[in-house]
Amino acid sequence: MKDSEKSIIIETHELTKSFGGLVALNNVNLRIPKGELRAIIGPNGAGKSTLLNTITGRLTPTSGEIYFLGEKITGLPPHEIARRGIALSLQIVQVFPNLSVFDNIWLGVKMRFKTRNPFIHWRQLKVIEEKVIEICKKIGLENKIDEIASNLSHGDQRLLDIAIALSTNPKLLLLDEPLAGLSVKERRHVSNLIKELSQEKTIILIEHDIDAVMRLADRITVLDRGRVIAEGTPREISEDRQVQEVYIGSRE
Amino acid sequence: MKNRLILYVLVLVILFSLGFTLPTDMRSLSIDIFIFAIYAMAYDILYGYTGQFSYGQAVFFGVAAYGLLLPVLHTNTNLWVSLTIALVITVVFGIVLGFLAVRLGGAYFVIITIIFNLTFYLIALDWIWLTGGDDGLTFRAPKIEFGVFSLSLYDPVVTYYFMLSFLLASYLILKRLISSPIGKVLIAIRENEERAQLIGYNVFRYKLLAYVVSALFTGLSGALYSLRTRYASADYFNIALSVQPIIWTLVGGAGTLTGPIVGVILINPLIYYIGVWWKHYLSIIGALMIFVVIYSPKGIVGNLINKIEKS
Amino acid sequence: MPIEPTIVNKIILAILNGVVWALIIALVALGLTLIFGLMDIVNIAHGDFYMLGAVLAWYGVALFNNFWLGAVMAMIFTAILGAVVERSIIRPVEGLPAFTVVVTIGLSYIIQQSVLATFGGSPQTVPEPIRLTIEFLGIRYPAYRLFVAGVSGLALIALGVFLFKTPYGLWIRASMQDKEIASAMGINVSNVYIMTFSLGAMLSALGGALAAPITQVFYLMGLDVLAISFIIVIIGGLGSLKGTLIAAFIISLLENFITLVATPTEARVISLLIMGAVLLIRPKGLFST
Repeated sequence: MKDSEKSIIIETHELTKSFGGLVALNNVNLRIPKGELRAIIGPNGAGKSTLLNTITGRLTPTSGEIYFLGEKITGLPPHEIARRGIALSLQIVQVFPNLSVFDNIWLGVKMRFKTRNPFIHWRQLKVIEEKVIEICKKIGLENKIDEIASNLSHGDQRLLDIAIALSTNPKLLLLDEPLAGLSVKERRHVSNLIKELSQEKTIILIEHDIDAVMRLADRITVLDRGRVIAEGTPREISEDRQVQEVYIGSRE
Repeated sequence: MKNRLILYVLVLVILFSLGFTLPTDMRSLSIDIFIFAIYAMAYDILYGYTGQFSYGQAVFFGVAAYGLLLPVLHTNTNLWVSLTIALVITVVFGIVLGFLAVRLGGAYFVIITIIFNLTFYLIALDWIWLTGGDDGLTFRAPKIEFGVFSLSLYDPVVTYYFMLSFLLASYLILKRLISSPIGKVLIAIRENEERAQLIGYNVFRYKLLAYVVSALFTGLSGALYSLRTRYASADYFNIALSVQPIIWTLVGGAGTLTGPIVGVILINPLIYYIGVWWKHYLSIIGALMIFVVIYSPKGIVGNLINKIEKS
Repeated sequence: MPIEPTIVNKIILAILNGVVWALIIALVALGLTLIFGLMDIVNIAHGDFYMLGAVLAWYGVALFNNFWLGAVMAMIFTAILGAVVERSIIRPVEGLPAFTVVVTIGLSYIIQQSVLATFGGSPQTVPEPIRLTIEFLGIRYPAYRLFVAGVSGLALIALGVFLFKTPYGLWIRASMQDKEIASAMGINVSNVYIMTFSLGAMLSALGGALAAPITQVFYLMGLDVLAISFIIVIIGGLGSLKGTLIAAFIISLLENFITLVATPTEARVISLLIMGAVLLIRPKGLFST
C-alpha cells in the first residue's frame, strides 16, 4: 500500500446502483482522504442519498466496490459496516422514540465497549455513562438528558440523531441533509457543530443549503443523474459552468 | 427506592404466608397462577420488550411438557434430570424455529408462528404412540430430591412453594436480563430496528436471543404445568394456549414484566369462574380482546402502573 | 371406485383430488393474501369465514333441503359480515399489524362460539348435491367434485376479471401499490378497504360451502384451512396473487400425492419443511420480486 493511499479513508470504485431500469448511481468514483469534509451536492434525484445508503450497506450496489480504510466492505450487512466505523444520520430523523435522550445515546456508546459479563446491570457501566454525558454536552442536549426523544422539538431530534451517530465514535460520519427543516437559529447551531466535528472526523455531508456547503466543505462533489459531473474546492465548483447549468436547469 | 424495597418484602411475606393459610381451591388456583406467570413473563420478553408478536408460544409449552413427561414415563428419570431434558429440548426447538421465524419479522413472524403452532398441534393429535393424542398420558410425579432428603409433589403445600420458587427465580433472572445491556438493545430493537442496526447491532442475533429465551421460560412453564397435572395431552399444544399470553400482556401492559403477571392474576380466575357457569366464555374473551385493543391499547394495568410510577 | 385400485388409478385420483382442493384452497388463500396485500392485516378469522360458509351450506340443506340456497346465503352473509367487521373493529386498529391480529383472534373466538352454541360441537356431514359418479380413465369419480373444480375455477376467473378488467379492481390494485398516491388520485381508499375485506370473506365462505359435502362440517374446521392457507401464502409470497395461486396447486397436489404413501399429518409436516426451505432460500416467497 502506498503512502498516499493510507490516508484515504473511503473510496468507491465504479459504483453503480440501479433500481429496475432506473440508474441511481452510475460508475461513481470517490476518494476521500482522512480528515476532509466532503460535501455532495446535486439536484433532487441525483443519487446522493442512494450513495450514502450504498456505503452504509442498506442497499447493495449493482456493481462496483467500496473500500473503507483500504478494506473492501461491499456487500457487508449494515451492522458490520457500522462496527467498522461508519455512522449515518439520516435525512428523516431516526431516533428511538420512546426512550430518553440518555438511553438513545447510551445505546451507541455501548457499541464501543465489550462487557465481559453480559448480565451486568447497565448502571454498573459508569464509563459509558460518563461518555454519554460528554456527548450530550458537546452536542448541546445536556439539559434535556432525561427527556423522552419523541417529546423533543424537531431541531433537538435532529441533534439527537447526530449524537447517536457520534456516540459510536465513528471514523467516518455521513450526514444526510442535517439542516433540513430547522429554524434559522437551529441551523446556525447545527452548522457550527458540523464545523467543530470536522476538526476531528472525516465527514460526508449532503446538503441543499448551498451557502452552508460553501462555508463548511473542504471539497465538493457534484452529482447529476447518478454521475459525478464535477469535483473540487468550493471556489472551483462555484465557477464551474457545467455545475451552474445543472443547477440553473433544475431550478427552473 | 426504599418504598420499592418495602413493597418487595411485603409481597414476599404475603406470598410465603399464603402457602399454608389458603383454602385448598384457592391454593390450587395460586399454583396455576405461579406457573402461568412464568409463561406471561416469557411472552413479555418476546413481545413487550423486543416487539415480536408471536401467536404460537404453545409449541414450547407443549414440547417442554412432553420433554419432562416422556423421560419420567419411559425411563423413570429423576425430577432434575427430566426438567433439564425438557428445557434443553425446548431450547433446541427454539433455535431451529426461531431461525426460520425471526429473520423476516412483522406479519411473516406472526404467520410463521401460527403455522408452527397449528402443525405441532396436528402432530400431537396424530402421533398417539408418542403423545397419547387427545387423551394424553399420565405419569407419577417424581420426588423433589435434595441430596439425602426429598419432598413429594403430591403434597399441595410443597407444590405451592416449589412453583413459587421457580416463579421468583425466573423473575429475578428475567429482571436482570432486561436491566442488562442486552435488555436495552432488545428495547432499542422494539423502538427502531433500523436505527439499532445502523449503530452496529446485529438485530437478527438479538431477536433470535429474545425468541430462544422466551421459548426457554415458556418451556419451563409447560414442564412445571405437566409436573403439576402429572399429565400432558395434545391440548398442551392448543392454539388457544398461545392466545393466553397475548391476553395477559394486553390486560397487564406490555414491556413491564410484572404487568403480564397481573394479567394472569386477573384473567385466570375470571376464566375459571366464568367457565363454570357459561361454557361459551371464550366469546367473552374474544370480546375483551377486541375491547382492550381498541380502547386501552397500553393495557388496563399498564396504564395504571404508569400513572402510579409517575406520581 | 374400483375394488382393487391400481397404482395408476391411485395417482389419477390423487391428481384429481389435488386439483379440486387446490382450487378450493386458492379461493381461501387469495382472499387472505388480498386482504394482507392491501391492508397489512393478518386475518386470523379468515378460516372461520370458511367454516361459516360450510355451516351455512349445512343449514341450507337442513332447513330448506337446498344446498345451493345455503351456499348463496353463506356468500351474502359473510360479505355483509366482512364489511361490518372491517368498519367496526378493524378500522380503529388500522396500521397496527399486531393489534389487527388480536382483533381478528377475538373475532375468531366469537364466531366459533356462536357456531358452537347454535350448530353444536359435533361434526356433521352435508350430502353431495350432485350424486352422480363419472367413470373415466379406469376410475369412478364423484361428479360433484368436478363441479366444485368448475365453480372454483370460474370464481377464480371472475376474480381475475374483477381485479384486472374493472375499475374497482384497478382501485384495489392501485391501493395495494401505494395508498397515498391512490387517494391522491381520487380513489376512496376507505371504500376499497371495506370492499376488499368483504370480498375476501366471501371467497373464503364460497370455498367452505363448496367443500362442505367433501369434508366434515365442524366449528373448528377453519383452523386447518387457515394453516394450509398460511403455508401457501408464505411459499407464494405474502401479498402476491400469482404466487398464491401457484403455491396452492403445488402444495395441494403434493399433499395429495404424499398421502398415497403416508398419513395426512406426515404430508402436512412435509409442507411445513418445504415452507422452511423456501424461507431459507427465498425468504419473501418463491414468486416475490
